Amino acid sequence: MRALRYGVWAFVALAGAGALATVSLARGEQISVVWLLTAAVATYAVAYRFYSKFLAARVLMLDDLRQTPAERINDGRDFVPTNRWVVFGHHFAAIAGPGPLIGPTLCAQFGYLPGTLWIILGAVLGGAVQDLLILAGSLRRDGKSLGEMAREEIGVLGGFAALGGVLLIMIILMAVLGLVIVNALKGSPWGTFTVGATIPIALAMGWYMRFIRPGKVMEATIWGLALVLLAVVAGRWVSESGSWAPLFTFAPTVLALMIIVYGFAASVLPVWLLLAPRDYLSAFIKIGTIVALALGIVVYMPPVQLPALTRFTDGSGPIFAGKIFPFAFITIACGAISGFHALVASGTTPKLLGKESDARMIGYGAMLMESFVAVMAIIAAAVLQPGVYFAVNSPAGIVGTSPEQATQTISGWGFPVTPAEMETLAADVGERSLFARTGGAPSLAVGMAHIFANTLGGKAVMAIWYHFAIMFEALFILTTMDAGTRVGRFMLQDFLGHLWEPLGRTSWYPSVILTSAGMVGAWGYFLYQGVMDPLGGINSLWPLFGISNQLLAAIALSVATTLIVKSGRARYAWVTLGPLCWLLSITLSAGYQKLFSPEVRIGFLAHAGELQGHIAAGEVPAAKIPETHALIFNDRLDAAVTALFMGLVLVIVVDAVREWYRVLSARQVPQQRLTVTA
Amino acid sequence: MLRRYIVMFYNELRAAVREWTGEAEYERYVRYCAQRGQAPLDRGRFFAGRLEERYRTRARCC
Repeated sequence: MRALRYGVWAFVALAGAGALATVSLARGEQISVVWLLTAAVATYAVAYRFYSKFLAARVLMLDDLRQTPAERINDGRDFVPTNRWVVFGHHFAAIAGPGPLIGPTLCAQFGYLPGTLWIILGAVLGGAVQDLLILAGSLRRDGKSLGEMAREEIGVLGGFAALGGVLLIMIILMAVLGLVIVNALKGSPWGTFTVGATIPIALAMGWYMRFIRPGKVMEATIWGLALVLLAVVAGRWVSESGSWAPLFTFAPTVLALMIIVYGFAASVLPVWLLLAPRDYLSAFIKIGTIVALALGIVVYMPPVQLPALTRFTDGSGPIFAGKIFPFAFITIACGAISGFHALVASGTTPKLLGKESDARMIGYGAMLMESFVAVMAIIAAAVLQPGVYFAVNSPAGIVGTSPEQATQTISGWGFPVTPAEMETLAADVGERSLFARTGGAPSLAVGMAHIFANTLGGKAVMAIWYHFAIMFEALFILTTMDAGTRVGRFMLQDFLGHLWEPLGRTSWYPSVILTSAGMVGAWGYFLYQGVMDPLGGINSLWPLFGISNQLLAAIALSVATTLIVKSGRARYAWVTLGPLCWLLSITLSAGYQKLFSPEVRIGFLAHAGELQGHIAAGEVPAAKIPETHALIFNDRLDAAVTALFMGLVLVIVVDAVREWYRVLSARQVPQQRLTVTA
Repeated sequence: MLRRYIVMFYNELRAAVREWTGEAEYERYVRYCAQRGQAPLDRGRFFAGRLEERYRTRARCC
């Protein structure tokens, strides 16, 4: 029996190694997505079976005899021992946002290989390790948050730096997600109608669950889902109607303002009215679509069209500038390693676990699942013709404003595409144009529609699938923005409450309005800046988001390393020190380049300097001078935010190293409270 | 036999989904109040209060 087991695992390991070798070494020929799927699934299986078991048994010493906070406190509300599959569902729904879909889509500009390898290896050696260790750490500290653990285990300075970092990251995250929605909906009456229709549907569901059938979530979700699907289909009628289509066709700036107003409303309205019902809709559609995409890929088995590596590894990419190192690794954060997960793993999840050993399946396993979602996103990008992929994702400022200019530029890069092909594709998906639809969401929707249509329904229903995919992406992006604005508002109120007590009261409406406006104003500013950016905004905002998210992961790994060192098992600190060193090298070098690179498409200060030079040389028309000054200011603001992130992380890492040195040099007896809370 | 398995599977799935969506929380809360001799809130107010609490800290990842 044992021999059979060894044989099976040897086979899985060999299959994974073979698939990874095929994916990595194939050049100049199309490969099947089967290789990508096999490489991912086999690596996850081996990593889960062996590495996570090692982490659970040796590093964390998870023990079911030790009571969890849910067992000990069990207050029937926040702390409740819950079935591990239910907790897995909660945890996965919370960590799987739009990041693992958008990041890999953008990173495909380097080819399918860098992103795929980083997603698979980064998750098993970094992301899943971080999630498991932070979850286990929080589990043994009554569900304390990452910020609280940083303050207690590293120091007050580290704790404050972590809190400040989280708030800043949320601002950048929501701005960049808002930009993705703007780019997906600009000039698209079908998409705008469908996404807009989810708002009254969510409000009606909220009213139903609060007053008509209190707490009946399933009932409301079922009819809510039916109405959302109806809205997807009705969108076609709206887009084809001469009188209705103009009512749902908006310029990017108008869409940005609408999202800002919506974010403010979602933050000040009662949760039950808008946020929670949208979250229910989003969670069910998210899980259903991810399962459907996996099935679609397995049934259709499309060939990979994108090369393993493109010419843009040299840093000249049209979607975002910068070489493969470090920019591929900050473009894909969620899906490989994401600091945001540490907030979820030290939030609700540890308060629900009934057994310590469940942390392995939930912390490590859910991250592998998210990584698999990211692999599917890269597959959806890689099955498109490369010329189409670049035509959709490249900003007009790079490839030219007319279809002829754009296709000529892209074909000149070695990725042939014609205006007629793009026109046919746009008509197939029910859009007027797919040129310069930056942000990742439209090309992901085209890829998903391609897979779905080839699995079910054919070309005739491609437009329905495309708009279903747009609705799916927009729905949970908006959910992330609603929830993020609200959590940010509470953090702001918490902070301001120290300055003047009434501002800290979460039920005092002047404070609610003031802090909501502050939070929405902060991310709204960056969103508007991105919309006005001639390069499309994604070029500057996505790297900023990636850097900040990975720096938060560096904070989480510093905390995790501190927990290992303090628990007397410093010999295993390599499990977090390895990913920590890697993350510091990519984030600090990316941050340095964003600040000081002389290449104007990379360096914020170089770009500001160039614009300043144009003004000084009198090359800017008088009417454009105020706009140019605004761009210069934005560059400098982005530079300041990047420098601030880097400074915060260095403070925490140095503080953590000091703490490790203190513990190790004093050869203290391990503090048992780090492993046991009596 | 098959019918029994299907019913069992349906019941377990339904219980898991009710737990996942928070629908099952109210029954647990009522039991908790009964043990302590407290008067429970009605379902609507309990539901609204739980959601307010949940979204105070619930972070959604990117």
